[in-house]
Amino acid sequence: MSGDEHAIHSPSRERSYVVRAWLDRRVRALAAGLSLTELRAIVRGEPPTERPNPRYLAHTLSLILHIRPRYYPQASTRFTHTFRLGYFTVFFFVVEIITGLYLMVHYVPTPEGAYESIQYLMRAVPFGELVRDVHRLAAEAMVGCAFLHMVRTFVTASYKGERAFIWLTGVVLLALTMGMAFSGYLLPWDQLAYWAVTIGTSMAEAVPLVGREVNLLLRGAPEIGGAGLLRFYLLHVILLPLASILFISAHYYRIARRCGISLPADVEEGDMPEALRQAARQPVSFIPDLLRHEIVLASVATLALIAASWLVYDAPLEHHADPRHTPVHTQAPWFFLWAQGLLKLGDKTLMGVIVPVTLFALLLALPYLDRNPHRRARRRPVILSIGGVAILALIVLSYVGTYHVGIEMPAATHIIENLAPEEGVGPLRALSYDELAVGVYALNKSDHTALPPGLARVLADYEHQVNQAAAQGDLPQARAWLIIEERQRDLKRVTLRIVWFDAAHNSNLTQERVLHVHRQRFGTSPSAPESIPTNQAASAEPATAPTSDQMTP
Amino acid sequence: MSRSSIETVVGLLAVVCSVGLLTGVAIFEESRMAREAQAQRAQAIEVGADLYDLHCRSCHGADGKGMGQLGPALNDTHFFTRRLAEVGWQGTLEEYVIATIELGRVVATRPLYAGDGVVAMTGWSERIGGPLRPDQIQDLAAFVLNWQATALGEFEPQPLAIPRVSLDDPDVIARGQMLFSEVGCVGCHTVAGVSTAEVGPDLSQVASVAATRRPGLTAEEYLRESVLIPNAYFVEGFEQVARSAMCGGIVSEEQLDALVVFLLTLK
Ligand code: HEC
Ligand code: HEC
Ligand code: HEM
Repeated sequence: MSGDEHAIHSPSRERSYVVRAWLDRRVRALAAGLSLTELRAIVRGEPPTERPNPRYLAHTLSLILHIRPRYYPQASTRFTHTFRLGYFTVFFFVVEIITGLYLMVHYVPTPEGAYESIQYLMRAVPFGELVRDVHRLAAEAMVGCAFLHMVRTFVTASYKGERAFIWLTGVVLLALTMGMAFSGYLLPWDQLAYWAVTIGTSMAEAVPLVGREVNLLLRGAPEIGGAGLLRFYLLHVILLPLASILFISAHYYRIARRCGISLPADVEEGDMPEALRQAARQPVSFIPDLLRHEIVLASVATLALIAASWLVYDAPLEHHADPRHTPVHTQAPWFFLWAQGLLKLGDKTLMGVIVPVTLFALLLALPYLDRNPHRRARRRPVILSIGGVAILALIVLSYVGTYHVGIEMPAATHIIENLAPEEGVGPLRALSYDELAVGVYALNKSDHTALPPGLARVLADYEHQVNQAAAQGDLPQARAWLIIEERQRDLKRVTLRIVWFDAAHNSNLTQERVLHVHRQRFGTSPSAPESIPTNQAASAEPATAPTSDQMTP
Repeated sequence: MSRSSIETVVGLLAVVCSVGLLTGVAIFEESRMAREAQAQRAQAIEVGADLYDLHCRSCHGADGKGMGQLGPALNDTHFFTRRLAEVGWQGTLEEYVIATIELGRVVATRPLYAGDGVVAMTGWSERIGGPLRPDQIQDLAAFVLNWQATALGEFEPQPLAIPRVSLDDPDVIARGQMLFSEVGCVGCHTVAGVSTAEVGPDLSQVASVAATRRPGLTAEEYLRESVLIPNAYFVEGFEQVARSAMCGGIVSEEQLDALVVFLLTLK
């Protein structure tokens, strides 16, 4: 016992002092040197309680804080300067890691197990569907934010001089982000995933000289299978996230220790009154002001993610991947549509490899190509116009990449796909089970007014589309049917059949799609009311018995 | 209120709302999972039905009532109530169905389907060189088992009033002729102007003799039987051939309709 403590007379005060000193040491050890009193002052927005400012010291002591700045100049923190896009990108990345861990517990990275494990997650794991939705939504948001963040730093000319390094690590981060989104896309092993990734990796094949090897390296075999899935899984959960953490740290560290966030260009270069300029450079401390701001943004964004996932967003899950069945539409995820658009415009090697690689290289080199020292928009018209054109091109290419453009589909297939798409719902499947009244409905022959209204609507739509195609000469002498049969309890078989005359072969052609519809396909309650009265004799025309094959001459 | 306290309030509100939402999700989670399980089972049956039509219908019939000598009935009381005991299967019916689909039947358990040295039903599992993945076999089993209600007479599907194929519809005759080549009948039979193979009898005038082949069968019935139950009758001189080159091809009921309509024109 030291002499000081003898000065305290009351034993209870002595005890409380010892306890508080002990507590203070613990708290300081955990909170990067901040004492309990200091923490309280931070929460209440009061000035520092000690000197030197322990809040700045924390940036040296704490691993996480050391890559954050002690303060920013006031003008850099304006919302409209950054829109917090970089911050949101980090936020979504953290969300991905947390939700990803939850998904990883249940996921099985094999072609036999993957799809079933996702189904299991959705039907048997509490919060499984929510977590999956959030993971998918946050992934898309992360790609979007990273891209918009790049646009922002481009527009505010924040890549110049010392910041070139930040821009470089940023471009790598953009590539990593897209890589994570793309590799995650394959994991559910459904049709959407399988075919989008098949197309995506087929671009690798077009790499000059080593295309075959690159493709093999990615897919693990000539076709995507077990080996490819495992590779994508490992990329998705280990390599790319680790690399991202590394690059995000470097990105942050340079900002925290070297350059800070740029000032708005007009503060740096504009002629404004000295007083205003002074105010613009006033420091805003990270602790507590920016920290609070970031925590508040995180909680609002968390709320938005949960609400959107619960109420509006559903992560898609199509049919099980089937290498033997190429779907009618294969469309890349929206953030790769531009690449699909490029592929449609020309040869795989040029458009699939050379152009994207060049674009990436140009992005990397931007700080060195753009030697203009000015930052204000009016002094950099050339580079901003180039940027504007590039963004326009990206939008146009993405549109070209959608299936609306350049994919010729026979008229009959198109009509059938409109009414009952291979994947997803479509107007026909959207009808309730009971609305699918058993019967043979010949278009333009029977009167649909007595039918359940939903069915009548779909038939009218079908009739309209067929008649329009017939009038345009795409389906000469078209005849079409909708046939609804009851197959089993709670299961109906619906046949869409279009027959038309093909002058080239001088014979009739048939296009047909059969779909089965189960009463509980959307998980409706099993005690749904028994079927409403159905209309059977709606057709006056004798239709031949259903045929099962597609396109018979 | 200062900007910082407004921020704090907004943040706290967001946290409270998030917790509220999560509680809401938690409350409905049980029923959501039940609904999801139901929807997944329903989708399995839908997919199973598509696969059945593609691979199984030709032998087991569109309605699961069996097709002659090709395959037994599955939509059947016997199958659902006594079949397991009959073959001495220890597991569940679902396991029996899955095992049968996966491995097929090299030899049938009943003489009717035994088919003289021909595999009764090939195995369907990818594992043994078949076309189906494990999840597809699960889906098929879900579909087959969904016949329980009709098999046990608890449910009667509403019949569809499709008129019978008319025997002189030129569309159907043309289709029948096309199928005659497509499903491989041309490989064994001669039909004047269509094919020249001589493994099986010449069918150029089969319509004239069909009605006289088997007492009690109309021409149409006989023609169907020739494809479905080849062993029921042997054309003279082809008894030996019929053992090694069994007549028929895998056809669906509808294809058979069209084929028969076509054969009936060969007079
Ligand atoms: C080539 C004709 C053929 C095809 C095609 C066929 N089966 Fe079979 N199936 C048979 C025969 C023959 C048996 C054996 C009957 C026996 O053992 O007596 C059988 C037996 C079965 C059994 C067991 C029935 C019982 O009573 O024991 C099931 C279940 C079955 N098949 C389902 C299917 C499914 C599902 C498909 C489609 C993937 C299919 N079969 C395709 C001919 C066929
Ligand atoms: C592998 C060879 C082979 C193929 C393929 C084949 N058949 Fe046969 N078919 C025969 C033989 C052998 C006979 C005679 C033995 C018998 O009656 O079973 C026969 C008999 C018939 C008969 C009875 C002829 C008569 O005069 O009574 C008809 C009808 C027939 N086949 C129709 C068809 C049709 C339709 C197809 C196509 C789905 C077909 N066959 C495919 C070998 C074949
Ligand atoms: C995973 C992707 C990325 C993350 C997590 C990220 C994160 C951040 C953060 C948090 C900031 C602080 C400022 C702000 O919030 O806007 C920042 C600044 C910056 N980022 Fe990124 N970034 C990413 C991608 C990119 C990309 C793709 C680029 C450009 C190619 C880029 C270039 C920059 C630049 C130049 C700055 C400095 C901005 C300034 O000084 O005003 N970053 N980044």
